[in-house]
Amino acid sequence: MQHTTSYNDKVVRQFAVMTVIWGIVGMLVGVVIAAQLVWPELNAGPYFHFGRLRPLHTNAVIFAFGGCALFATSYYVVQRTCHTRLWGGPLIPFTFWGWQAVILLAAVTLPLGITQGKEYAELEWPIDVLIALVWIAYAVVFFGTIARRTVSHIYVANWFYGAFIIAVALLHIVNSAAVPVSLSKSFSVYAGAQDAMVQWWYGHNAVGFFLTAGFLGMMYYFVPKQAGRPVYSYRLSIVHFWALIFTYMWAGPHHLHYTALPDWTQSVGMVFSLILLAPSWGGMINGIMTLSGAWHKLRDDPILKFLVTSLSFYGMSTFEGPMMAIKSVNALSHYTDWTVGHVHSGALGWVAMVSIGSIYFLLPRLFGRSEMYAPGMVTVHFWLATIGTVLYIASMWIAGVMQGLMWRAINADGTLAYSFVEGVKGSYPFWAIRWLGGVFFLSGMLLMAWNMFRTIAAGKVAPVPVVAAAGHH
Amino acid sequence: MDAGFFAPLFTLVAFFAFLGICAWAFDRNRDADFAAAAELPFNDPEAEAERRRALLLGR
Repeated sequence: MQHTTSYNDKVVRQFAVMTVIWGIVGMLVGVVIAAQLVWPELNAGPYFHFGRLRPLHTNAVIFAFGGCALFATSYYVVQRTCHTRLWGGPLIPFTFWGWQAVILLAAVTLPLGITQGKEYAELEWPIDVLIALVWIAYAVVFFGTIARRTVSHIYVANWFYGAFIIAVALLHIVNSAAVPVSLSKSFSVYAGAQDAMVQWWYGHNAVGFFLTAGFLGMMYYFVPKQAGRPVYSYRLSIVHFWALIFTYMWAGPHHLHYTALPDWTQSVGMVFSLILLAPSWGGMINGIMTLSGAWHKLRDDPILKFLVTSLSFYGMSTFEGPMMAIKSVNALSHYTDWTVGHVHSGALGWVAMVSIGSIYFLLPRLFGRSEMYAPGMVTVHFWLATIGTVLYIASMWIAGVMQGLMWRAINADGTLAYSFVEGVKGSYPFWAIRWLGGVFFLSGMLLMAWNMFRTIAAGKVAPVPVVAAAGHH
Repeated sequence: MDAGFFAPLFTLVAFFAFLGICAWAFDRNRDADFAAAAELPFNDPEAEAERRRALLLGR
């Protein structure tokens, strides 16, 4: 091995630290809006009303917390598996500071009510332009680094990260196409059912490529690393990748069942959602089976617990999703808290846990320590996160099914058996449990922040030399 | 010929391309290549240091 230069870990450190900070901010807003549903008097209008804070919560946890985790891990993984330093010069810090600017602008504009009103794409056009610039810079840095790799093979994690970067650029630019009428207001170039279809083509594939493909890239690197053994089946990972790529784009219409969208389009969305079960479970099994022969490590390795539990939740939510896409099931579940529970099964159980596990893996390495400052607290965090997730999703399942059944119940004369407000009243106990679950999860993140800052304070940053490849194919 | 002609054609091409990728991935001649590719995350100086530490700790 010949050491030539060092990896660029500064940007990885920056994004890793901000992952934890934005995670706390986003989840705190989530806990606040959960409390607002239980105690409506907490709605302080207009700036801190549920309607304005809810998009702030979703943007903060998806794009700030999740986004920073993806930037941090993709920059780390692409360097280590391509055996080269991150390429891109000033574009690298631009992706960090540009992304933080996007997040801060979102935190200011959303409470002010400046929004396009498109779910997960609320930010107004000047911020959309900045997102596009940052994302193009990200693509140049990531693919530029891959182009300069010193190994011939592109490791499977990079394929997932690469697909996530390309797909998100495509989704963001197409869905955000709008005609500006002022600095803070624009109108979508699409109209009616087409606008809805484009929005949910974006919305579902934001789930598919931002919240799935990117985090699968994370899984394919950090699960083998932490387990200390290569991925269970490399050829399955290739089929997993291409099966997701070929099918995900078609599933969006399941968000628009029983709407003005043409019926055949809804059916296509349903069928492709069912097909998606196969690659999703293939990937989940591939990740979990990577522990074959190393199951004992789960007993005392909290990072592995985070990673494997995340895969279990990934399996659960990717089974539940296709089931909910079946039109007859969707007739019961749609617009109820069941959907909210499903989303958080994926968001807390899968996305957050795989991110937390990966960041715990990275932090000691990035700050020159052999382990976290308080390894025992990582285990405590794991249980807080797991209990919080279970409380959240179980309460939302029960509330959602109850709401769906109450809304569809009719009397013998055809009138509704329950008024809407009776469903609201019946949901209160479950909303309180959901809030408690959120408090558990947030407490774990606060513990992580304490552990992170103590690790940084006790650590010492040292450059890690890039290794020259030994003729790998 | 319009989009109604090309859309199903593209779908068929995509489907057969996927089948081709599966056949490529499951070709037994690639076993050695895939085994080597799966080792990529472990081929770096940090991984070597971790292996040494794990051996010392008896994990």
